[in-house]
Amino acid sequence: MLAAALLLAACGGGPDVNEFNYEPEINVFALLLYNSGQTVIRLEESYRALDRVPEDRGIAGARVTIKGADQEVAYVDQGGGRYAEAGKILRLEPGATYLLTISVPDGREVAAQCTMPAPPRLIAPADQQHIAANDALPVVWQSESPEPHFLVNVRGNIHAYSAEVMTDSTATDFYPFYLAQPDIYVLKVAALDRNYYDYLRMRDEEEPLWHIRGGIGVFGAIAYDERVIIAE
Amino acid sequence: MLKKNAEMAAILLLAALLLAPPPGGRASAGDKWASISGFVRDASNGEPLPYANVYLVGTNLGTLTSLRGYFVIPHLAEGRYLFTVSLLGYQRWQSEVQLHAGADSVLTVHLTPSTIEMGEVTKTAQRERFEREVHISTVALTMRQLQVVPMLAEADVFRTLQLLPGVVSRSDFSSQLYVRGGSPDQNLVLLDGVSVYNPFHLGGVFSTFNVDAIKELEFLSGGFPVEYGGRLSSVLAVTNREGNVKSYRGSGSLSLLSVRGLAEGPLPSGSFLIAARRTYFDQVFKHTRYAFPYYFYDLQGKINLDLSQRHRLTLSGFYGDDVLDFSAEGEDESEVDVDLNWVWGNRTTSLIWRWIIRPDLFSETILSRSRFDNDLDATVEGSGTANLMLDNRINDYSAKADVTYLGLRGHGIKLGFSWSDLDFRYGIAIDDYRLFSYTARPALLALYLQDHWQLRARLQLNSGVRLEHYSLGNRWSLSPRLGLQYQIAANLALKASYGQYTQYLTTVASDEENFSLMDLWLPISKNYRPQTARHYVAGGEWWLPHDLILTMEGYYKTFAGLLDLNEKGIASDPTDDYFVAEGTARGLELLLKRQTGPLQGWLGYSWCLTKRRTAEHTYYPKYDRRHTFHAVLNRRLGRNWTLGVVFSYGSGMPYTPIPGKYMAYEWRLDRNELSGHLVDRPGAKNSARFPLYHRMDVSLRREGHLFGISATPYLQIINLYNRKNVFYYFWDHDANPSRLTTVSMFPLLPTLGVDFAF
Repeated sequence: MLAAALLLAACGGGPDVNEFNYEPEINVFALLLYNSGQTVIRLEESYRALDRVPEDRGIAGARVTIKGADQEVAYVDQGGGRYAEAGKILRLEPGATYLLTISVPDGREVAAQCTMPAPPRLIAPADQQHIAANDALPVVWQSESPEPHFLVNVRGNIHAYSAEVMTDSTATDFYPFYLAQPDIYVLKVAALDRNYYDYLRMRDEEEPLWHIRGGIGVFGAIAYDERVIIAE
Repeated sequence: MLKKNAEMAAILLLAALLLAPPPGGRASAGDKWASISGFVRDASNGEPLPYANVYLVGTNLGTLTSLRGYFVIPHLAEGRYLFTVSLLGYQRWQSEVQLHAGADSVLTVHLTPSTIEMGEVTKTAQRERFEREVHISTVALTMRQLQVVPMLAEADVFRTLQLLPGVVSRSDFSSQLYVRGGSPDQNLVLLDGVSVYNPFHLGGVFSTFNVDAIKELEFLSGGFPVEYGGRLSSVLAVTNREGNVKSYRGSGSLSLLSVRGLAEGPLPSGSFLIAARRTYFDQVFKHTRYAFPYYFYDLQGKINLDLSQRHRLTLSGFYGDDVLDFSAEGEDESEVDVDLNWVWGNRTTSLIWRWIIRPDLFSETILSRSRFDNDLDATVEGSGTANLMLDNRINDYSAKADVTYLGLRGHGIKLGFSWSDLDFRYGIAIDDYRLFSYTARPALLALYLQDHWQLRARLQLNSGVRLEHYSLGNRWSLSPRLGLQYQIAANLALKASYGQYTQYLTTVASDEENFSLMDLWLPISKNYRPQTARHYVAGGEWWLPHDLILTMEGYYKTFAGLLDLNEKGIASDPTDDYFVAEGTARGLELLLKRQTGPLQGWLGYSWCLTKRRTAEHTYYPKYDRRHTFHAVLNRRLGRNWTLGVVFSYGSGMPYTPIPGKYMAYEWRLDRNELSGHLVDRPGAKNSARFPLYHRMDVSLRREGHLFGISATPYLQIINLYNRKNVFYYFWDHDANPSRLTTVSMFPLLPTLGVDFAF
């Protein structure tokens, strides 16, 4: 029995990751930022697990366009996988649906669609409100978005401590330890479209919901409201 | 429709309960039949002996003693008989008895342990159980059998069960049981009839039962009868010893893991037993730089009182905790001080009343409380102070009662009910601020009726029905069960069983977790249907020459409504807390065992195929091990030495491969900037398999005496040839190219210890 066991011990070893035959995919990060009117686009390849990742990961020379709200805007290669508007700026309208299409030089194509959420309106706390440090902070807002997905962030000025909560309700409590130190804090409540919400929640899952045809990543949109609060 | 049927069945069952034979005295004087009843006990300590073979020589009349050592042979013609009792490991007992019509003869038989575990006597006892009971998918193990299997540091119930066909272990670090395609939370674990919710120490590395106190354990891996419910896959019923009724005795053990002690002795009209175990590394290294701030302990006790020949009360308790008590002071002002006290463990208390109403009618009533606590108190002190408190608790208050009636010729009827009030309270607070709070208090009621029917001399049928009501969502379920045994030849029996099972509790566990400190149990909310399963089992048992017994079983199981935690569920949507899955498991098991002679043990092989289906995909669960083989052998070497060898082989289990990686970007809301880092690009769920698992453990024990007391030192070597079995793979994408690390399971581990008794 021992001989058989030793024979078995000679077998085995680490996984042969090449056996999975993974073909790199187009990795898209495209986000519509309502408050600044920006469109952030990164276009890269993914890599095999054991591949060395090059300094310049970008896909060059792709044709990138976004259609929506009666516009069609082209984005040009800025190098390093960055794409930006060359002339006409995409106008972002709450409730409007945008369609992203990408064609890369080797013929692969990617398409995705997202809807710009309406910015939420913070009800509490009030701007410049003074609160006690190390006390719970109830945060309440209104939203007109049909899909209520939110990201709430608070960040101190001096301590630069940042805390974030994802929620699908229009109220949350910031726990006392997030506001433990006397400081000036910036509180932001962002409405997220379904794509970006799922991306943030599920990108580390085994089979994430990418909402992108022909690639991985996200095409999403956010719009936020903010307040300054003073913890004493 | 189903609900209506269930309600009708409830009414019928209640009517049956009410119409059950009234408690009363003996059989009427005019009864033409005689009977013989009583108890079989161990002559050395007075402990009741279960499964002893009790029969009348020259007839085919006989029975087996119950778990409490009770027997009754009813419907006997008046006359003189040669009454015989035999049991594996004991000398046969025989006596002539004169039975009179209309009278019951009561006997208490004391069997003397035999020094040689072989011969005709033991074969007969084994065979009688084989011939008289429908016990498909059932394995019974004694303390002695548990003690001789080589284990890490000391004997362990769950790790021994992991060596049986149909049971899969996910890793060396876990003693959890995956039974015939079921997950660990589908196993009902009972200690003296009381549910234990987290029967593990150190996150599952060790099980919570101290083998010194165990009399017997019965493991039912499928098709279990109606007296058990609330779980889908298996039942583990652990019965503790009752204590020596003849003299005061003690025993102890010192292993590299723990120190154990046991005391037992007689009480007026009864006995007591108390057993304790504690790890000691924390004390040994307390004042060194290698301080080990963790320990666990178990304490269990039992008191038995015979109020009369017919009434017995048993009070038993189990208390076990894991304790992590840790303090660290920062070396300077920039570092924080940490003070952590974390205690988690089980407490069970039960009061059992056994009443022999008539020789052929007896009842058992259990009132119990099972509690699991998980309390953490952590304080971090730096420029400020933060305190984290976890306060998690399960309280299970239960009442069970059953009545067994043997007065109908050819039938053994059991009628019972159980009621449980389950109280779940989970909470997390930081600085007295309640971050999270959960409470639920479902009640579970079950009524069951079972009949063991000797249809023909060679044909037995076990049939029953269990009706359950679960208060959350007001759900009813009706679970029929059926077991059949046909003695096709003197040495060959064919068996089959069918059963439906319903489970109302689940554990919060991610499918991808490699290690879990404890199970977090939750009742299924009214938004989900209870989990259900059906078992179809068929097989045979064949008695071969040289005391070899070959068992072969095939099974097919279907699962519905299985719940996998959806960690990314939306908080305010109570309907997406879980992914709901269906599943199937099919398998074939072979077990060749020998329990007599100088070479004992078993060879077990199982083939199993388990699949899960959700709305999105079909996959093999992480414990789907296709081929498993175990050899568990004990060889007596001369008079005092015993060599134990365990060899385990398993085909690779599934895992989710990481064939790629990509930059995951995120817009930082606080800084209005883009950030990103390389992350895994996982492949399809559980689409790859780890390499083969195999391991050999050996042990050598020597029975002897030291300073006048019985002492058995032992040496054990785990993973004799230091096989590096893969636990998991870890990718480090900070390196470029990424680095793959293989984390292995147990390396070669020698351990030693000594058992002593006085």
